[in-house]
Amino acid sequence: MIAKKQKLTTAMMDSISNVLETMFFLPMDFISPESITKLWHKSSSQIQTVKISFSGPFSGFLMLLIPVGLAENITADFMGLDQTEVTKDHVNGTTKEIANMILGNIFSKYDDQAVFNLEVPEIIPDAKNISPAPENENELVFCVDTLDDHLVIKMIIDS
Amino acid sequence: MSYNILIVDDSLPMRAVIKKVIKASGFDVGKFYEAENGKNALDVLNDEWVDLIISDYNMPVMNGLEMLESIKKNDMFNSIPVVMVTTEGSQQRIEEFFKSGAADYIKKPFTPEQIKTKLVMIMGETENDSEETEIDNSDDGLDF
Repeated sequence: MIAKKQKLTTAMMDSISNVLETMFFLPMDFISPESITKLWHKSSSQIQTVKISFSGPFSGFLMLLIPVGLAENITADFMGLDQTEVTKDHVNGTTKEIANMILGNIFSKYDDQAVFNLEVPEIIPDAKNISPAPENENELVFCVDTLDDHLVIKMIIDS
Repeated sequence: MSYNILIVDDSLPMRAVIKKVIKASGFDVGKFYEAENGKNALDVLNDEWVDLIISDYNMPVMNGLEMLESIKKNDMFNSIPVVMVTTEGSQQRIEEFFKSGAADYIKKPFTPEQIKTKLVMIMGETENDSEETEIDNSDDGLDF
């Protein structure tokens, strides 16, 4: 379990930076989940949450938690739109794509011989009560500092 | 020669970005068509002339692999090259794409250069033809 977690940790960090930097051109740094917890609950921003379930050699789900303002900025840049032109559908599509790309990349880096099935990403209504810190040993959590804000990626392993 | 391209992806932003990347790459496009899943793509094929299909794998209703298999079973459409776009890089999945008749695949995240290289290779343009057009990102707001 420890070896699997270490391998997943490396795959997650590589994938998150690869996707955010290559496809979304975001300057980013990883920060500790503990340091973000206070900021997260104080923030007045609504949190957009995307969930993707997966199954394969092990199953679970990945969640992307991102403040709506940051999601709108990223969407505008990604699509080459002015921020006033960005719609809720654009934001939903872009955040689902971020989560989908990160998860797909994690598994190809984790084990390119294994086949994981990814479900279609879904938006979870405002999930501000979800803690950015890991809540148990089956969770892997990464917090990213980008564009003067933060986003969180959590992987929860069921089995 | 210009090519009509069908982009199949359930994500509206991703369809827009693929279109912009292709335009920015200087590839000669006649018309773009869009579909949000494999089933809609088959409907587009029945109505429009399409030279190339670029399709996501993971979509609701009908995924990219199911669409690819339907296309390759249809005598009217089976000569249209299909490029699969996927975040999933497992060897088994990639083999499935090729076994089902995909012309190639593109792994996300991708760069405009990677897209252009694949399209040029598949549509048979020479490297010299393609080098005449430099990557142009002046009109699309993308930071490529």
